[in-house]
Parts: sequence; C-alpha cells; structure tokens
Amino acid sequence: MCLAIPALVSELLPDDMARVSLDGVTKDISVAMVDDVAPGDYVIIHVGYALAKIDAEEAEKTLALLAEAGALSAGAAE
Amino acid sequence: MSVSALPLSAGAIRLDIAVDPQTGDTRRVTIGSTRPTGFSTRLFTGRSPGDVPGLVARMHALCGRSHMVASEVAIVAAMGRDVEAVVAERFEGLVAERLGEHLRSTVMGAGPARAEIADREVLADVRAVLAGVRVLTGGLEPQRGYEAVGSVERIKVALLRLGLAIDRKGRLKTGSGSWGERVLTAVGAGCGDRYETCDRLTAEDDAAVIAALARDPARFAAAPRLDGRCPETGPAARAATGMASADGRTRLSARLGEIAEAAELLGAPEADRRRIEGTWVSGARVDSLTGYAAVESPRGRLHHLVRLDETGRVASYAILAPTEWNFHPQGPLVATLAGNRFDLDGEGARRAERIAGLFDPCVGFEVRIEEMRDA
Repeated sequence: MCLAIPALVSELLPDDMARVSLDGVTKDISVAMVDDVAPGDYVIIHVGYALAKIDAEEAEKTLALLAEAGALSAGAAE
Repeated sequence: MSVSALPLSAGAIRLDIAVDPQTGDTRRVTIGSTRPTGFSTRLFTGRSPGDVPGLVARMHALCGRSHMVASEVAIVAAMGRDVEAVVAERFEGLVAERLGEHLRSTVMGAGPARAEIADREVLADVRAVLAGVRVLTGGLEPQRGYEAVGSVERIKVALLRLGLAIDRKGRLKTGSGSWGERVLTAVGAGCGDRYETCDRLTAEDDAAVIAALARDPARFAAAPRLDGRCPETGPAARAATGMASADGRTRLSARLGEIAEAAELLGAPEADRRRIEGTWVSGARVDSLTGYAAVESPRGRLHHLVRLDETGRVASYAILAPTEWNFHPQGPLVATLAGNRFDLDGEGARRAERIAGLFDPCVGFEVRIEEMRDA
C-alpha cells in the first residue's frame, strides 16, 4: 500500500521538475501533474511524482502519523 | 522513530527475472519487497473507531478515499449499524478517485505511456482532470454544490479531449489519433508482450478472504492465497473482457474504460448510482465485535477488517491491499512474466516494466534481468 509522504519543495527545475527535501534528504521529482507548485509548498510524492499540494499543517500531521506508525523505518517490512 | 528518520520513499517492489542466455526464455521470476505492511494494527489499536477513517485516508497517498470508505464501512458493520447509508454518502468520491487514479497511473506508468508526458496539451488536460478529482475527493466530507458540479463538467470536457468516452453499450470509444488511442496502440500486439489469463478475485471470495485475514493478519495481508489460488484483481479482472486477449491493449482498455465509465457516473441520477453501489462496496458484521469491508478500489478489491473491544475501542485492525494479490510470488504478474521472453539488453527490462506497469502496483518497482547461471 502506498503511503502519503510529504516533502518540501525547495527549488523549481526545468521541464516540470522540482527539488524536494525532507530533513536533509533531497530528491528531484516531476511536478507535471500538479498546477502552480512553488518553492515553500509541501507536496505528496509517489515514485518520483508530486501527486498533490498540501499545507504545512497537514504535512506535519501526516509526518507525525507516519512516524507513530513506524511505517517507513528500514525494518518495517514484515 | 523520529520524523527526521523518514526517507523519501515508501519502499518498493523488486522483480528479479532470470533468463536462459541462449533462448531468452524466462527460467525464474522472484518478487521482493521493502514496502511496509502490518502497521495498521499497531497504529490503530486502542483508538476510538471514529478517529480511524480519517487517519487511514491521511496515510495513503493512493486510493485514500477507498481506504477511508473501507474503514468506515468495516467499523459501522462491527457496530451492527447500517452499511448502505455510508456507501451512498461516499459513493461519488469513490467514483472520482477511480477515475483519477487510473488516469494518473496511465500517464506515470512505465513504458510507452511515459513518452506521452512530453505532450503539453495532454498534460494540461490531465491536470484539469486531476484538479477536478481533488475537489470531489478532498476533505473528509462529501463535496457538493457549484464547485463540485463545475469540477464534474471540467473533468468530462478534458477526458473527451484525451479521447476517452464510452458508447451506448458501455464500451470504451477512443477518438482517432487521441492520447487514449496512442497509449493503447503502444501496449498492443505489436509489443509482443503476452499476458496470462488468471483466476479472478470476486465478492464470492470475501468470506474466505476475511476468515484467512482474521486467522493470520500479518502473513495473509503480505501474501494472500486461497486454497492454492492466486487470483487477480483490478480493472482487467472486473471487466468481462479484461483478460480475454493475451495482449496489453485489452488490459489497458479495461482501465481506460473504467475512466470513461466513471465520468458517466459522476453527476448521474441517484437511482442509477444506487443500482451499482453494492458492486463497489460491501461490508458485514462477522461477530458481535468484528466487521469487514470490501471496496473495489481503483487497483482492485481492498479489504479492511476491524475488531472492537468491550469498551468500543479498536482491538485489532488489518488491511489487505489489492497489490498483494497481483504481485504475489506465485500470482498473476509472475505467471505472465514467466510466459514472456526477455533480452538481456535494455529492451528486456523495458518489456518487464511495461508488463508490470499494466498490473499497476500501488508502490514503485524496479526490474533486474540476469542470466540464469545454471541454465
């Protein structure tokens, strides 16, 4: 099942790409399927694509929930 | 675990294909996974059941609406209350989600469909559809009023420009030269890919699925199997003709047909929707404290099972996602990969990615093709 991972857009790149980060981990993703993404936005990412924008409060709540679940830790797969 | 430890990934599926170097025949297919499973019980146990549907929706990047409805229905069933009222209230959101998920996964999908991403007009229409879907599925409450009506109209107009419609008999009708026709052609017989016809997971299997999920939630949810059967679920399995042909065009037609069908359902008279709601969502009480739901989510049949304790709080919670059926180590994807030949150059990997993409997993995947050393 695909979990909702929020990340902060730090930089827009050419060709509908953007650089996102989460606590120091950065990644270049496509923002081709979301309108009007800008640096400072939080986006939900999935296999290298931004799926949707969410506000900062929602992002924090989602990150806290994922942390509580331990769902993304290295040993989470059962 | 701290938030700072979260990686920018929710795990992935790895497909290892070993081929005979002389013939290219597939000798062995193995599936590994780093995706998280089994976290629902540890996250939801002890909570008030009213909190769970919203949390489930928040956690899932894909099919969040289907998960939320499955959670609501399972909980309502466990309480012995009316399931149909919940389904009626949530149905339009499920329809919109199916439409949006199918469109997005086709654009994002591996293989030739990805090349279409370069088409600016297509992308503008895709964004218009997805923006409309977000209006209809956003938030925890059903969206109504002018904004919702306007979104439905914008979705329908953009889908027509993409070439996706159904005829009077409910069959997919793609416009000549349209994006829809181009992606179908790209996965058609010319590719040489061959798909196996598999057993289908249906509502008739729910009792056996729920019994097995209750017995061993962690193990069954990670690799479900029914009396030796590894059935397929999803649009190809739902469509009467979805697995009637060995080429990918038929399979993708099932998915695109569901997009066009969903567009017709949005804004359709309530009586029309009520007639089919039960084929999308069902749920029932298992015993005095336990309930389940089965939702035909975009990628296939999704099951939630909840047991409450004597105080009314969640005692256990299990989720079985459709990807687990389709990507089972002995399941339909593996059977199809085993029936194809893969070159050891990049073309073989592209074929494997194209095939796996049509099974539409809810997590990312990677493919490795290597020589069978003892071949």
